[in-house]
Amino acid sequence: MPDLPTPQGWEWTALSDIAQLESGHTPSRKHPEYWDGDIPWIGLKDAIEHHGKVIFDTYQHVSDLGLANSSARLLPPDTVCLSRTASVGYVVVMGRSMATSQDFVNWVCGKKINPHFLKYVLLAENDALLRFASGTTHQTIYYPEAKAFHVCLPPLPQQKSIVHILKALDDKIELNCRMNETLEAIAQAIFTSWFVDFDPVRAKAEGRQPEGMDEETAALFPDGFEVVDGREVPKGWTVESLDCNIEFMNGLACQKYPPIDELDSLPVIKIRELNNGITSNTDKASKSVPLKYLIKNGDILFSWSGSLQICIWSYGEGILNQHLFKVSSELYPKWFCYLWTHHFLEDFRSIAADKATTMGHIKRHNLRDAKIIVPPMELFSEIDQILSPLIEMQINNAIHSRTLAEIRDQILPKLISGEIRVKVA
Amino acid sequence: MARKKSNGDKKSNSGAIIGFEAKLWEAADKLRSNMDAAEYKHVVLGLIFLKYISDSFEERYTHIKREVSNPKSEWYVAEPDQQYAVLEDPDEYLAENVFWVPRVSRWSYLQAHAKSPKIGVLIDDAMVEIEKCNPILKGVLPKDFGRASLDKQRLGELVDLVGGITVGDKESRSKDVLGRVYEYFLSQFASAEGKKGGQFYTPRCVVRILVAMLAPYHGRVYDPACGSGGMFVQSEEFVEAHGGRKNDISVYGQESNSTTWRLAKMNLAIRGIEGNLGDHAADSFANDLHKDLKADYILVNPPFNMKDWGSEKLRQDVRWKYGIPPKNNANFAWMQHFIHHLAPTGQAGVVLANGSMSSNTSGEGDIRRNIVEDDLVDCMVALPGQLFYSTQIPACLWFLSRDKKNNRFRNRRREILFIDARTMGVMVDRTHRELTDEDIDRIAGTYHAWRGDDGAGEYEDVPGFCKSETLEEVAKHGYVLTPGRYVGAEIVEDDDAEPFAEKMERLTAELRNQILKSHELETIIESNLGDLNYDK
Repeated sequence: MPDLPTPQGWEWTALSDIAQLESGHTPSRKHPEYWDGDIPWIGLKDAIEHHGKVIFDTYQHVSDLGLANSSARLLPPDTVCLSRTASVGYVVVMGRSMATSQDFVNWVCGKKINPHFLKYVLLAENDALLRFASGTTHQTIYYPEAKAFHVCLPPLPQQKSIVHILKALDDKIELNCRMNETLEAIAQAIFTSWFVDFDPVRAKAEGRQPEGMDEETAALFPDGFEVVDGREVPKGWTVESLDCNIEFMNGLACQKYPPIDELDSLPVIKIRELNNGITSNTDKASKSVPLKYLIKNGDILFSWSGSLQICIWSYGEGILNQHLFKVSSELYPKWFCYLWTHHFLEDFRSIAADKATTMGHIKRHNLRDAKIIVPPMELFSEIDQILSPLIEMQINNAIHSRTLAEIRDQILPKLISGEIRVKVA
Repeated sequence: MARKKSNGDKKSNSGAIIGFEAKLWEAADKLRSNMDAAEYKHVVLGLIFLKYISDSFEERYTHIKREVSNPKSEWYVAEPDQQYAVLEDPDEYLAENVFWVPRVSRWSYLQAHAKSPKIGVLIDDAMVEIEKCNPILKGVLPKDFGRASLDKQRLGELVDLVGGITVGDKESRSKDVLGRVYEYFLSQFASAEGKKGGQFYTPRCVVRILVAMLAPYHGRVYDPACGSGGMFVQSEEFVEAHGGRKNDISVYGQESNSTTWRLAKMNLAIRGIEGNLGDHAADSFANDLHKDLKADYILVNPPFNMKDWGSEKLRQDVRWKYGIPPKNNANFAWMQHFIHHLAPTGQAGVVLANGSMSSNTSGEGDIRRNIVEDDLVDCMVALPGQLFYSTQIPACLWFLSRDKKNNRFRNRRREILFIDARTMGVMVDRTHRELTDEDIDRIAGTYHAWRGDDGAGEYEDVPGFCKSETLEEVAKHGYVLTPGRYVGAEIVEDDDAEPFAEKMERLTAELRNQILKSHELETIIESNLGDLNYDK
């Protein structure tokens, strides 16, 4: 492992001396009774999705019978699992008793090592772990290699202090993620109630006071409906095509703009980046692309082929690749563009799924066929005050999380190696 | 219409399972050792058939014997040689629809020689004798058990195995059991042969949905690509399950592959179905064996996207009423063949590749438009993927109706019902999906309600599942018949189940907690990083 001097009070130890090495196994798929039981069973997909986190539930479950008839064992909470084959290097900590597939090496930590400290060690040493993997088609870390792992450990109290620092950062990132889900759900709920179900208008039409708003706001909603273009809309509101005042700008074929050097390059945003953010696999292109293709935090991006998705970008500057729309409007606020496009997402997905070709997609005319309802301007600015902060806070949280993650990634190797020392609390 | 299930029966649709078929299959598969499944199929199925006709013969034999030797019976015969003469009179058997089985072909005789190295030749002789005595089976039975490549010891063990097939309970006669074993083995062979298996076997759940939709109570049932005859077997089962008699429907079929045609002949015989499959195997396009047939029900699963179907010789065919089918794809040649054979109030249920619903190449779009405009299409069903052995691609069902004003049902002219069943079914193994009984009931029930069957209930559009559409609307979609286009997106209900006010209350409380927690964490992080002396 790293050839740094051993910090004072730290000690190199064989991991297998202080933690019990356990393997995993897959019960036979030929026996349905071995599956769908109560015992969570970690597979690679689970590890990839919960990388670096505590895992509480899994995609697949095995039964007691399945466990009894395989060499998999039920491992206790706080077991640290490392994926050792195919996708090597994903680390999770069990939040409750679980079993794993044979794709993992698992450590049940003894008294001398904090499981979360081990997790951070494995995360910090990810590159080194990959070097242990061998095999041509499937990179694999074999058990003898895993047995040979050594760690440099500080005393337990110090391990806990280090974990405390890193975990606070991780917890905040996780919390931001959940907070954004809440903010999104609130925005969706308000939008659906007011723009799709017209609850306030219905309430007024029936002589009731609309729920959840002050009288001033309520006064801005009409008290009845009229028919526009064959559909019933609140009086005074208009119907238009989704793409009438909202621009859906397609990205460009970035391979035509190779970067000249590192300074000239920016990450290319493709569908994969919508999901995973900017990673080491992200392509680069030259900054010299037309300005309108430069994406910054807070831009709405919509992938119109493959698995249709919409998101608000938060991974920093990048260049928009083809198959992605940047959704924007000079007339309407961001939440309006985002929520309306989101509203049609399921429809668009089913249109795309119907395409006989390999990759489903939607066409311009599908945007035109999608009709949105627009309230009059004075109501718009009122609603904007309610919905805009919900969206802005989401963007802010996401960017905040990136910063936190960057700090964590910077200090993680230094803390784990003892290069930065921490006071024991 | 499902058979009574025994306990522990998990896969109710993959064949008529009663547990022991699976065990039997396991045993038979062991004896297969390294023989090709396609070859072994004929060995095993041939033996099952032999056991079947021998068993039914013995049953009749015992019956006659009891009658002729019972002084109280009207069949009583006093003299022993006269008794023998009656017992050995083929007509006594044929009259009851039982095949006459000569002595050397009887199972007891073969069983006694199971351990003999000559067993192969004996079975061949048995087959030849049966064919001689029963012209209807001429050229149908496999007769190469004597070939050198067939391990005689294994064959003997197989004879023992088939001979050991016993009746589960007293009510079910051995004939029924053998019929079910035969069908189960067909399905297993289809699975074992993989891609090629689709040529002779349509998955049971797909056949069942066609039968359930069309409900063929009586009349002529036709399958011009009948494979091993599964459509007929299921149709008969349907009729019997609904209190009818086998003779209420008459069966017409055709099959181009001669070995598959034999499987079908045996399958019908083993079920006691009298069917007209022609005198030989033949291609329905080039050599239509039922030229004048107008069928009341057509149930068919033709090969998907068949390329070389011999179009050049058939440019001017009477069947191409809606347009000349392209020479590199037979889908719409099949479709027009079926329409040609439909009686004035006939209905058809057809399994086709998904491309048939939307393709616009080589004139297919025009043919489809003409068929739709002639108001023949009654209902379209999109199936989930992985239902078939031959292909992983999803397929669809076309239901045609010659007369949509037919007074048996509601007048539904210029309307089409679209059903999207793509999300239905359960995986029964890694690569195969099956529709469950509930799925089939829901799809067929929806169609029956829509078309106005008695007691089928009220029809209602269900977003994401079914939609009744006018031809005008279909025309607007360029005559594309993909159900997904019409049924729309499923309404996610649990989201709407929570009233707006309550939802907001819950979400707001959640957010408040998260913000509090966020402040806490911010303080901790700040202090932590302060400890590391980076905050200057």
